Amino acid sequence: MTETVASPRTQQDSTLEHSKIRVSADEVAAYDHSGRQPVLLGFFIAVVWLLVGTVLGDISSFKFDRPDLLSEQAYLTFGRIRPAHLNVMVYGWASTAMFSISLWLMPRLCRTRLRWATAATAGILIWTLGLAVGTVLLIAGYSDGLEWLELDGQWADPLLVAGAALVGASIWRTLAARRVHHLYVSVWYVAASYPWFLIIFIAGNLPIYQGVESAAVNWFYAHNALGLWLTTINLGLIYYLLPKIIGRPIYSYWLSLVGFWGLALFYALNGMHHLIGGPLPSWMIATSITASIMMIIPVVAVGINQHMTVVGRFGAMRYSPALTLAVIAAMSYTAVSLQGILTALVSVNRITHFTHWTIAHSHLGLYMFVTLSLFGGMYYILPRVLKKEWPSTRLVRAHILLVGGGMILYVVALGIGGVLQGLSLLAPSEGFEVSVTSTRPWLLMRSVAAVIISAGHIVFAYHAYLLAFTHRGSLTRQPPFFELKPVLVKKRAP
Amino acid sequence: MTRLLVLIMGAMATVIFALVVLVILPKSMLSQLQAPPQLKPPSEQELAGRSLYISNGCIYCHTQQVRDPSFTADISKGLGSRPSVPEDYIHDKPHLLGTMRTGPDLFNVGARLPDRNWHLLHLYQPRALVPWSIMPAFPFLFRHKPKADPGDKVLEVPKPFAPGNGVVVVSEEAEALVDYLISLRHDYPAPSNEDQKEVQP
Amino acid sequence: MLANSFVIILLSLAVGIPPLIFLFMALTSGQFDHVDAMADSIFEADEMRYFRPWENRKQAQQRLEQHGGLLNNPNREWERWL
Repeated sequence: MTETVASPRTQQDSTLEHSKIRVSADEVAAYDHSGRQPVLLGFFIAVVWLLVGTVLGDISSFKFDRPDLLSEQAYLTFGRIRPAHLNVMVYGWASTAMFSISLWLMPRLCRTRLRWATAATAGILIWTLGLAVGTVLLIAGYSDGLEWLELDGQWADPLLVAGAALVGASIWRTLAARRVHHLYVSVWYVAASYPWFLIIFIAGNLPIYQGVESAAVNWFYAHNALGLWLTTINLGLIYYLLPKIIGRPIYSYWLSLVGFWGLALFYALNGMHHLIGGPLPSWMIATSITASIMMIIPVVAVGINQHMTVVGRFGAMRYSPALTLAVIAAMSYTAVSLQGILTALVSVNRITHFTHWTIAHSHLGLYMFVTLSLFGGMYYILPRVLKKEWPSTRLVRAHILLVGGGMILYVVALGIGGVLQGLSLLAPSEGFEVSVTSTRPWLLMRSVAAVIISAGHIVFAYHAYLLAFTHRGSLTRQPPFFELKPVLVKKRAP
Repeated sequence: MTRLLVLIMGAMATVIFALVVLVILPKSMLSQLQAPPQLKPPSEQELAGRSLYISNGCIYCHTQQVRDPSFTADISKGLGSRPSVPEDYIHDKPHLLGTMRTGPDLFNVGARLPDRNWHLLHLYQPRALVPWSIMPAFPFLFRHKPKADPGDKVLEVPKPFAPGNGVVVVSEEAEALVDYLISLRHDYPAPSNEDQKEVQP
Repeated sequence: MLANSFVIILLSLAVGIPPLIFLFMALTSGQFDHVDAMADSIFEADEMRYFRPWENRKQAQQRLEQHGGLLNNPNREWERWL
C-alpha cells in the first residue's frame, strides 16, 4: 500500500498547525483520483434513478387531475406508483448521490487517499440491487406498509443495509487513516451519518412492532432518515462548498459545531410530531413537539453561519452554478426547518395535518434543500473527477432555472392548496367534497410544476451525458474554479 | 484518537437516547395494553383484505384515526364518537394510521357505510357514486367477462361506467377488501385504562 | 393538548441537557482548540490568493493584505453562467 502522492511530509508534521501546511493542488487531484471509481459509479446510478423517480412522480401527480388515468393495471395504481416515487428518489437518487459525495469529501478532508474503494463500489452496487428488487416488489404489490419503509423486509432491506455498511466502512477506514489532527466540521456530519443511518434503518425495519408502537417506530425512522441522513451529508457538503468557492473560511467554526450537536440530539426526537392528535401516549408527542421547537437552536446556528460566510459576495453565484445551488439549498434548509417547527405547533398543525401542505413541506426539504445541494455538488465534483469542464453554460442555466422555478411553483401551489384543504377539513359546516374541489386547481398547478421540473431533469441528465461520455466541451478547458494545475501568473489587484 | 472517540460515542449516544425515549420505552409501556372486549381479532378474510389495503397503497390518502375534539373537527364531522386510543390498534401489524386525508378517514367506515354493494361499486368506479371523487378506480379487482358463469357475483354498474359488452364480476380480492373495510368500526366506548392515564404528563 | 406549559419547560430541560453535555465533552477533548486553523484547513496552497472577479475593490484589498499578492486565476477567468 503506497501513497499515490509522494508526500514529503511525515505523520508528525501533519499534526502541526494546519494553516502552515496547505495541501498542494496536485495532492488534492490525487485524492480526487483515488475515489474516482465509486464516485463516478454512484453519480451515474443516481442520475438514472433520478429519471426513473421523475417519471413515477409525474404519473402520481397526473393521477390527481385525471383519476382514471392508467387505472386498468394494478401495477400502475396510485397507491403503488407514489411510494415507488418516494423510495426511488430517497434511496435511489439522493442516497446514491450522497454516497458519491461523501466518498469524494472524505479523502480531501482527511488528506489521504480513499481506503477500501472497492468495498465502496461493491456497496453502491449492492445498494442499487437492493433498491431495484425492492421497487419491483413494491410495484408488484409487496409492500411492508409503512411509509418510508415500504421496501420488502426480506429481499430488499438486507441488501440496503449491506450496501450502506460497505460504503460506511470505506468512509470510516479513510477517517481512521487521516493525516490531519483535527476534523473539519463536514467530516463530523458525513462520518456520523453512516452509523446513524444503519441504526435507524435497522431499528425501523425490525418486524417486532404492533399497533401504535409500529406508528411510533415508523415516524421515528422516517423523520430521522431526513434529519440524520439526508440533511447531515448535505450540510457537510454545503459547509465545504461555500467557503471553498467563496474563498474565505467559514464565518464561525465554533457555531458550526454547536449546530452539529444540536441537530444530532433534537432532530432525533422529532418524529412523533407526524402523529399530533393521534392515539399515542401524549408525553411522546409532547416530547417531539418540544424537541421540534428546540430545533431553532441548530437551525439558526447553521443559517447564521452560512449566511455570514457568503454575505457581501452573492455576486459570486453568477460565476459558479455549484455555489448558486449550494446557497439556495442552504437558504431552503433554514426555510424548511423553520416551516417544520411552525408546523409542529398544535395551533398550526390542526390546519395543516393530513393535507397537501405536508407534501409541499417535504418537497421544500427534499428538493429545494437536498436535491439542489446534490446538483450543486455534482456541478463542482464531476469536472474535478473527470478532469473536464461542463460543456455548456446554456444548459446549466436552463437546468437551474427550470428546476428552481418549477419547485417554487410546486411548493407555493401545494402549500396554498394544503391550507385551503385543511381549513375546509376543520370547518364544521363543510362537507368533505369542499376539501377535494378546493384543492384540485392547486393540484393541477402542481402537475404543471412537475412537468417543468421534469424538463429540468432531462436537461441535466443530457448535460451530464455530454460531460461524461463525449468530447464536447474541450478537455483542455479547466474548471472555472481552482484549477488543478495552476500556472501561476502574478497579477496585482486592481 | 480521543477526538474521534468523542465523535463516535457522542453521535451514537444521541440517536440511541432518542431510540430509547421514542421506541424502547413506549414498547415496554404499551405492551401491557389489553384489547377491548368489543374489538374482535380480524378474521382470515379481513386480514386478506387488509393486505390488499396495504399493497394498493390506500394508506397514502386515507387515515385511520380520530383526533381529540379539543383542537380538531374530527368528531363533529362524524368520523367517530370518541378519539381513538392505543387499545383500538392492538391487532394492527403494521399500523395504518396514515398521514393524508386526501380521502376521508376510515376508522369507522364500517359503521358509516355498512353497504357491501356500495363499496364494491365504489371500488370499481368511485365516480359512479361520488361524482367529485378523485379516488383511483380499481377495475383490476374485478373480472370482465362476456357472460356470468354460475356462482359468479355480477356487479351492477350504471350505464356510463359499464363496459360496452359483457358483465363485471366481483373477484375474491374485492370481497376481501370490502370485508376489511366493513370491519373497520370502533363505536364501542373507550376502555378506561388507568396505566394510560398515569403516563400522561 | 399542550395546555400544561410546566411540562414543556421540564421536557425542554430534559431534552436540552444531553447536547450541553456533549458540547462540553467536545470542548474538553480539544475539538475547539484551533478553530481558526480548522476553518482554514480546507484550502489549497495559494487558493486564497486568487483574484476573484466578483469581489469589490475593498474585498480584494482585504484578500491582498491577508494572504499576500494576488494571483491571476490560471488559464481562464471564472466564467459567468448567469
